[in-house]
Amino acid sequence: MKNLEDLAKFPSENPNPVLRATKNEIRYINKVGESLLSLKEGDKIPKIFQNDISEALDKNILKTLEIDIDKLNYVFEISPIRKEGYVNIYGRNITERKMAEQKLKESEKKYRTLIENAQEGIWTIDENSITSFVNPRMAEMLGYAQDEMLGKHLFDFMDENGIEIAKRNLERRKQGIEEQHDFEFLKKSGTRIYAILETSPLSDEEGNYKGAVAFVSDITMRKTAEKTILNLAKFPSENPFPVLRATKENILYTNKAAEDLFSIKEGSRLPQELLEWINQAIDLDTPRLVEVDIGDKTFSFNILAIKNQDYANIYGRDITERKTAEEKIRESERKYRLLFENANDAISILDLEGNFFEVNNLYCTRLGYTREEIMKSNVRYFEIPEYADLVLGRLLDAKEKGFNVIETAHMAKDGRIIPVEISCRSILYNKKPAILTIARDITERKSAEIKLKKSEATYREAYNRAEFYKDIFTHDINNILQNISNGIQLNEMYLNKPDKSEKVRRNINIIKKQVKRGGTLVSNIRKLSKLTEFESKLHNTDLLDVLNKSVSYIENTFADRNVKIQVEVNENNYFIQANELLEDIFDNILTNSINYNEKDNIEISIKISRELEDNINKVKMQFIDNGIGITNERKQQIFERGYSEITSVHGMGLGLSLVKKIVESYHGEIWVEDRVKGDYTKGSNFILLIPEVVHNG
Amino acid sequence: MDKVFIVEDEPMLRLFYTQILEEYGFEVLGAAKNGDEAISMFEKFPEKPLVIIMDYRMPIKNGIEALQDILKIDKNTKIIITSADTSIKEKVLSLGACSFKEKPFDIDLLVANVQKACISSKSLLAT
Repeated sequence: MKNLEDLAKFPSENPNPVLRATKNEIRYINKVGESLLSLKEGDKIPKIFQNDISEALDKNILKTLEIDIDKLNYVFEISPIRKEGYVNIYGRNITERKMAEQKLKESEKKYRTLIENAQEGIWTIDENSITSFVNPRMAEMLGYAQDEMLGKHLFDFMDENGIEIAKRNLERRKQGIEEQHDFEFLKKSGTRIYAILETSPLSDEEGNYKGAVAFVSDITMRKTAEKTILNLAKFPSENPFPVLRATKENILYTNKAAEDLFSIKEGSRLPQELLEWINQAIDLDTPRLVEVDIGDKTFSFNILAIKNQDYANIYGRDITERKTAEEKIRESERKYRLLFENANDAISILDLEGNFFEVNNLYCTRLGYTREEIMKSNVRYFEIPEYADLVLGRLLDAKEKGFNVIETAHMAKDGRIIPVEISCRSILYNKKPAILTIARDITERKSAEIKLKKSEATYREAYNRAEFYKDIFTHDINNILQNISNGIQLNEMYLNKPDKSEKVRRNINIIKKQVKRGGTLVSNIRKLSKLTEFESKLHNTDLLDVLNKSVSYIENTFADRNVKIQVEVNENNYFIQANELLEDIFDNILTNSINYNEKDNIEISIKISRELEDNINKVKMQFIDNGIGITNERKQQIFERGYSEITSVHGMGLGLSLVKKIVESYHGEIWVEDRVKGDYTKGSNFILLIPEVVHNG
Repeated sequence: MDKVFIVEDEPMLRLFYTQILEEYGFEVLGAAKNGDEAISMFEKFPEKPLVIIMDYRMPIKNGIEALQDILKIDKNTKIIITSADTSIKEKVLSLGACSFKEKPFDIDLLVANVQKACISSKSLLAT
């Protein structure tokens, strides 16, 4: 205030603007003020001053107003003289001061930014070694928050050994010494951090020690690497691996291992294997890590050029085992890939929902899809529809049991069905549960199995048939022999009895018929044993001719029974493809009708007609009897009895099941219906339907 | 006259058995073509036969089945089973047949068996 008063004393001499003003007008303004503000006495108060002048007078307070005029900064101090009702205004040019302030602000901002974002830690301590500031990086290095470090003693961040070193360092700071040194700090976690510090003491104006500042760099990684190298380099003579020091031309030092390996000694030329790399490392001042095969071993050499020296240190390691292991893995991988891709089985790796992780080439080629098509599909898609729904269950089963084998069938893109046997194994694939499936094409095996089954069935059929013929033959031939024996013995009894001559003749006739019957039996058994052979030897046969012979035979055979057989035909010519066994068919059906008839008058009506079925002309033969009939349950059964159950019925003893076989060998059908529909007790109607053939005479 | 019943599916044998047995003084009550018919006829005979000559292999119902059914009706009936199949001999004897005759057999042997069976049957009846 004293200065202001002095200035006011001689306002006209003041180099700065001076004014006196009421709330309304300028009462006084010096020359500098007139020039600067373009005002003169009596002018109205410029708007820029109005509020502050009013406020200064009303409240009787000193007001300060900063105004920029022509790029210069001015401050105006408005001092109220209340009792006079005006203010005195003293202006000063503060441009330089403002510029200095601005520079300072900018500088502060810049350094604050640098400090806050520095990659180096910045740490200040006071004269008592208490932490007064750390930047974020410093706190981060030691694993603390910034606030946690503030107020802590420097020694809180180091071990006892560090404290001893720090004490000596602090002494040097107090002596005003700046220096760079390495230091080990303890992090909050207890682990160590290796740091390099640029330290400077802080002093007050009088030069008194007020603390220190350190710029800290984390060199833990570098230290670790150095330690490794140091460990290697420490005792090169004891190192079991080769260690050398070499210029671009000569070996300066070699340990025993390197001597033996390269057959060199100090002063030797560089080994050829390392020549190029050592030169490169020294020329480019860049470390080189190379792998070199020497003899049957592989070595890695770490070639470190020493800065500002014309040599490099070379540290070798025998990595033969590692390389061998790597090669084994590579070889194994290659082998498995080869196996996978060239396997004769389709191999896939699936997730538990049947989606593909991997498939081999054969999987794709066998099914005729591209790898891309398969990989985006589900395995269900390649199963035949009957098995598709079983896939998921099979995968889960494999997962549960660890392993399973199933037979299924794949469907190729072109519709081919490929029977496969798939072994599924539960595995982990890329750490996920998966199923390895190996699908083997078993088409040939299946085909062989079918052939084998067919063959087995053929032989079983042949065996059964042979047994059947043997059985029939044994039974019938013994009946024939029994008849002959009975006839002969009876005739012997009647030899001297003239009244028995009629019976003797009848017995002789029976014996003759039985002999003939025996011959027919042997012949037909022979024919039957070759039934399949006869199938290929069918010939045009006059059906009515054979039927008439059969009717005649049956009437003679059952002469003791009252049998009436009536044949009804629309035409006289019916030809079918048949063989010698056709008559046996008729014999058996007619014999059956008589044997299963309890009536005194046995009536059999045979109706022959034509029928068109599936555009094929067929001859329909109906053998209608008035016998005991066949229940519905037995209608099918009588044609299906096994060989061993067939009972001899007449003559050569063919059963209905064999009749059916013969009919089928003519591509015909045979079945039985009730004579009166719905009432089987009224008798049966055996119906044969056999394709007719055109006969040309 | 001792009554005999013939069960045989072979027509000529039914004829011969009847002729022979009648020659030897037996009364042939009838001749059935199968086991089913045999049972039916047997039930209807007012006076049961002492002996039955029965074939084993016959349609509808074979000799073994008919043997069992008839013995259920009259356990004293003597049944002679005839067959070319000797494998059934033990079975039919264990089931109650009095004799088994393998075809072809001598007619005298059959007659002797029938006579023996008649005596046995009559002695049972007497007790």
